[in-house]
Amino acid sequence: MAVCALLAYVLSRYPGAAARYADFWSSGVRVNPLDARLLRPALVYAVEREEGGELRVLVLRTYALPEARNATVTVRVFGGDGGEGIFVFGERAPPGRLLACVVHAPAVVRVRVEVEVDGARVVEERWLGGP
Amino acid sequence: MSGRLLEFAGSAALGAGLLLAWVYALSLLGFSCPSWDPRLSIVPRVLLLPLGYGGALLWALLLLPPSLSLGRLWLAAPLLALALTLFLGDPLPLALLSLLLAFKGRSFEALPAGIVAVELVVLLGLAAYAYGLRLPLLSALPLHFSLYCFLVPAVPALALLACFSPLLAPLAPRRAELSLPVRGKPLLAFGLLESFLVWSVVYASALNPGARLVGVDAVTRYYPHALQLLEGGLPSVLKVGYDRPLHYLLLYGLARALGPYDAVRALALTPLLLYALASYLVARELWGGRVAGLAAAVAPATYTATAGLFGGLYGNWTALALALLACAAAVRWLRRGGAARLVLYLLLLAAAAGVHVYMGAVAFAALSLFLLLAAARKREWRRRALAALTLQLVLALVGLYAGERYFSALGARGPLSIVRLNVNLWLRRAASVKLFSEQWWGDFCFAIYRYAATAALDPTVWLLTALAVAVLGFRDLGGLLLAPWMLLTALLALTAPSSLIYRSLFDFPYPLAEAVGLAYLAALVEGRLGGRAALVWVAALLLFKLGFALFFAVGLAS
Repeated sequence: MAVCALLAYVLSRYPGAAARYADFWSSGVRVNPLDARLLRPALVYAVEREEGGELRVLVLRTYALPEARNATVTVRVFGGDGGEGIFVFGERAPPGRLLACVVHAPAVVRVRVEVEVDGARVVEERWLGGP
Repeated sequence: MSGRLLEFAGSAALGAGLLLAWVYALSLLGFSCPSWDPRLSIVPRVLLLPLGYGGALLWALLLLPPSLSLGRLWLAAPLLALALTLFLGDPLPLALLSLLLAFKGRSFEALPAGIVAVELVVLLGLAAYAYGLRLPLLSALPLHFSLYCFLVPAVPALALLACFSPLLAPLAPRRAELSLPVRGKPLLAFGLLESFLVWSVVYASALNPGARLVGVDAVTRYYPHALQLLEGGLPSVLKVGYDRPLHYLLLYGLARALGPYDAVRALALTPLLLYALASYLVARELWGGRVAGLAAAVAPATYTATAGLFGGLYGNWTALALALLACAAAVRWLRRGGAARLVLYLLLLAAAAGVHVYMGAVAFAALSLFLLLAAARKREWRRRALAALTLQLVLALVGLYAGERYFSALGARGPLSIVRLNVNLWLRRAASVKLFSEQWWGDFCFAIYRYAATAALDPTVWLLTALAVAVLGFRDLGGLLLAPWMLLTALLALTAPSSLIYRSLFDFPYPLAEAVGLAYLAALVEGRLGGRAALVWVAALLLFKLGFALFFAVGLAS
């Protein structure tokens, strides 16, 4: 009884301290296991507009080609006025890593993301609508 | 034989199905698993179940043999589940069928069989990756991660539970049966092979073609010091390696023979092999050959190995191995007497202190407590225990006095002043620490998650250690050795500054405790499910541990 009470006291402050490391064990990323994109070396998980005209592209490195450790992400943004921009990111990408590529593209309406992992190329396009 | 293999294959298929269902559940919850990458530091790896439609078909096929064992009508179940999966666009029906079959079948055997199958694929994949072979293997890493990632949030608490394990002895059963359906010597050979494999992944594989030095101390301490030793010659050994003179003597010899770079690489192999062998020898004295084999097999795949490789703590690690050899000699002396054993014990203990003063001091304190408790426990041990204790105290005092004088004459820091300095630092820290406050937990979590760089995240280390120390209590010689050693480790780890917590946790001989924990579990399983189930459980846990250690080594090297 005394040992259990001691353990309860000792552990009472633990959750608050451990919660600071929640990023380590909880990604919040969910992909349907039947999604065929999981069998390719990378997929575009999300494209989000952020404040200040920034665009956040989240690329998920899957477990295909497990030996590959690096990826090149090319983000091509197309504006409503016909303007175009290209941003290239060289990233360390072990399997399972969620890569975040942030670009400044206030007037973007369409995004084309190319991910190259160990010679294999994945291309995805997203329409974003007006800014 | 072939019938048994088929039965095992059926169990493994159901186990793999269960694991797929488990990964599916964890991936729905958005779990990730932290791992080490030399360029990114700690990377959370998202847990995914990359099935696709082909994978769903494979899952349904895996469920056919266990369905067949329930009757012909059940054969339709996997096909129905597959059809539903395709219709819904979600593998929930297959996951539910896996669970149902597990409830109907022998899930306690199936689950470890599935873990064995998955870990074999993981190990093969890691070995292929390390040696540059491109095998058409499916990556089973998500399945491996799923075995422990859900416990990662609790690992600091589990480490603390292990520290408290001597206090849990009153809660444990009074009589602990240890059993293992495998002989010791093949496991010793396996342990030595594992040691070499872990080392070769780090230093002799395609991942590290230039044999870049790996480990904090390997780069910041051993290599520059090897250059200094070569420049200063033999007399510089005491000056440069004042807190680990014997280890630096070895480094000097290796540097002369192989060159400074290869000397550091070879230095990493020494403790890996010596630790496996020492764990075997001491466990054989305490619990017999079978548990000893298990200790040797666990040694290269435990926290000592992962933290030791990451920190490059070769001196601490070698000293710990020598201290274990000293334990083996001490146990022999207590049981059988013989002056040669006593002399060997004292020499090995002195060698441990010579290889690493701090680690030697910890081992000295742990073994002093062991001898004291042994003297108090049984009359037949009393005379020998007190004789050994007296002699080691005299030896330590004479050694400290002589060392202090000798090193002072050389202008280097002597062992007494090192001990005094460390004790003062520790006391200052211990006086200010507020044990178990949120700040203290913050430091402890930082040490486990960040400072140890995922080396401490194998939950089986802490769970098996806690189980073994609690079950052994203070009853036999094994308990009298491990419980005070753990109390000492806990005292240091709980009061250490955050940068030294992971190194203080390093001071305990985990393979001994883990081997006892595994043998205890094996006895429980054998009693309820039979010897074969016990064997499969032990194999599953061992392979999981090896998978964890090898994956960590791959992360260090790549």
